[in-house]
Amino acid sequence: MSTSATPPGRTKVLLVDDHDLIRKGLRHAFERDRQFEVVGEAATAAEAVRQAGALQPDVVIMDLRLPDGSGLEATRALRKTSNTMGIVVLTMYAGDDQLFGALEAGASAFVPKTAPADEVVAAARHAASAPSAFTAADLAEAMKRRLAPTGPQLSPREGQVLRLLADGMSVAGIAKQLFVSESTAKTHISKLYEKLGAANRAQALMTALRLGLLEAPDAPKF
Amino acid sequence: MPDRSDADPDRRRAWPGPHPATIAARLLIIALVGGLSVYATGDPAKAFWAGLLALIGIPAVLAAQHPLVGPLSRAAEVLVTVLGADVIVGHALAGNELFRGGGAAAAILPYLLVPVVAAALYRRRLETVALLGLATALLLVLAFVDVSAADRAAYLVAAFEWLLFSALAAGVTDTLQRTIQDRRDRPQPYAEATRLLTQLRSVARQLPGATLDPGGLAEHLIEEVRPVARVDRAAVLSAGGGSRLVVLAQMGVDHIDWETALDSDSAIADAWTSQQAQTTNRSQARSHPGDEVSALVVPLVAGVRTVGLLAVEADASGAYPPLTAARVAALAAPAALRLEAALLFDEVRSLATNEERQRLAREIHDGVAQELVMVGYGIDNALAVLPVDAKDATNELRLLRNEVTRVITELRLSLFELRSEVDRHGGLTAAIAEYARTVGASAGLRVHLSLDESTARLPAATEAELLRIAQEAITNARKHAGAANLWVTCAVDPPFAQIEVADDGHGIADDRPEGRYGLAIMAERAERIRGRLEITPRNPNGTRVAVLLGTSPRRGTLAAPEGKNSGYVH
Repeated sequence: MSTSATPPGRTKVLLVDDHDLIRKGLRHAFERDRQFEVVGEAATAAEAVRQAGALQPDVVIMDLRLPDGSGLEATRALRKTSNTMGIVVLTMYAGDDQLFGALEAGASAFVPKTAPADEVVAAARHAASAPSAFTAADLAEAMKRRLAPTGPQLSPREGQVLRLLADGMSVAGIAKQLFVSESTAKTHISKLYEKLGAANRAQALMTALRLGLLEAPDAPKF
Repeated sequence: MPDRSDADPDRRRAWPGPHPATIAARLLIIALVGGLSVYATGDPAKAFWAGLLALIGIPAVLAAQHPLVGPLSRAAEVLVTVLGADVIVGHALAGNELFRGGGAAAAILPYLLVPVVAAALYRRRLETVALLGLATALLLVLAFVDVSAADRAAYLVAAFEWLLFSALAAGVTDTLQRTIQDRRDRPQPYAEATRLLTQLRSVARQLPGATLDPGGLAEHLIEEVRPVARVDRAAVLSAGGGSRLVVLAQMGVDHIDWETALDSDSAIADAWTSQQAQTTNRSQARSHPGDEVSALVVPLVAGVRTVGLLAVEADASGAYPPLTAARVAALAAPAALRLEAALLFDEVRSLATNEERQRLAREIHDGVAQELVMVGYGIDNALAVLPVDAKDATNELRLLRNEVTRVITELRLSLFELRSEVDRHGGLTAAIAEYARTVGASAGLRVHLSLDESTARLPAATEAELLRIAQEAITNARKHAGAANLWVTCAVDPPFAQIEVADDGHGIADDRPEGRYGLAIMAERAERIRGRLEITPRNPNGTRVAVLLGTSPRRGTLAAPEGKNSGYVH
């Protein structure tokens, strides 16, 4: 782990993972690539921060779960000291929370541990050249998923009731249209109001328009 | 709890037989006062009084606990002692060094200690005071009626001294008794916990399904109340998250929207905070049309804690006069303790289960999963150094790498399943949706979600089981169905809930043992929360797994909205 032998122009890499054999596997992958030079390894978050300070690597490969804490904390700490350091977060955990956690901590890339070693190297290459541009294989889909469920979720029946309310129909009319009793229609309406945080029909319709649950009257139908 | 000693028969009998200390004290003091009486008067016949005291002492010792004989014999002892004192003063030898005139009373008055301390020893405070009062009165009366004016002062001094000694001795005895009793009463934490847990275990074993079930207990309470009072609607509620209540069980003609907010201005909120039963002529159901109604809300209080509420309503005014309310409250009191036990049991179980799931997740994450990742990187490295012409080896290694990646992906999803909790995602439908999306994304399934969750919550244990059932159903669809689309429909409106997972795969085959195993687990979980699991083929192809909660089989399934299959939103 000497820095003296690093030829100029090579990208310096620091590997952080608590399993030595994983570090060894990644080291082999990086050493095959002429662009990289593995300058250090760390098994804990504290060690990672210390080594990063001492070795000034261009890219840090950071495991999320470390014996002394979270890799996200270490990522945050490293990002505070440097804007130009590439940080690739590596994790076994699935779920969008992890991805967005890495993004918010200031990581440059997010790679699941299911990905082959080449992908880790590719992510490191991206991180070295554009440390502040976050990338992840599933990023676009994850963003779509994250944006999808904002605001209240209406049941199909509540959606129907909302459209009928927007058409200016009375409670009795709605009940007739939906073939339900008037009190059932009232229940649907009161639940709809509750979900939209509205006290009356006008408020409910305004909120629904704002949330995109209803199209504006003049908008083209699609 | 000031009246506990009365409730427990073991504590009332402070000592079962004659107290050995009282016998010894009696013998000693009888010998002392006998000797002193003879010495003070110079007349051996005056030992008669000591003999008389010994005689009365027999019932006082043997029947000390008897409600009538005990106090009477002790009163007789006081009487004889005081009369003896008067007689001895009358016959006191002139010129006696120790007992001058009236002071001769001190020869026998020490015996006053015996009945007074004995009464205190048996924890009869009232009797102790009465005995001292009796002695004081008698001594005073005799002082002015019988004792000569010359002896009176010395007599009164001796009487005062011994009354004071007796009172002090009784006070000390009483305090000592109480301290010892307290120490005996104070629960030994571990012994007490073991006793309670053992009791809980035996109770839990006797129950159907070998568990304590809050929902079942709540329904039972409602059934108990029905013969006592008119009930058109009823519900048992318990504390949920935040300042909201959750409905454990309810009864009524239709779906009822109970007031569950504790910060609202309702009888339910009042009963919860005041721990007092409330009657009102306003319905506690938010959707009630507001006709004539009477409502009674009884808090279920275990110890000092409100564990739940019983709300009953009738569509008539004045259905719950104080007498009826009191009878309902009398039924609710024992139910509170049962419900508390069941809720605690649920909590302990879910804590233990959760901890175990987290531990398992950590173990998989740090162990086998990392080792497989390492194997995967090893294969990647081997592939990279293979010579270009080793086509067969390259292909074999590629296949192996794909397999390893598939197994790691499986492990990742298992970890995700183990780690996901309802509260982490801020609600049941959000947690199910997150799981469906993540699993769908990893398996290339198109996921269609239809979520409908009311602001009220289900009990935490129920939410947890529903999440696990949904996870199992989604996992089955991903692993075995070979489907392209996954439909997840959640309609949660406590105490009703319907979670449905459908796929367009090739349906359930009978020859798949692991599939059946999963189904058995789902059915078991559904049973635990008194839900119903329905597994049916989907038209035209695929499988539909639904868990229904809060609908009785008699009334059929939840009314499905028309056009259901076309009504999914993305």
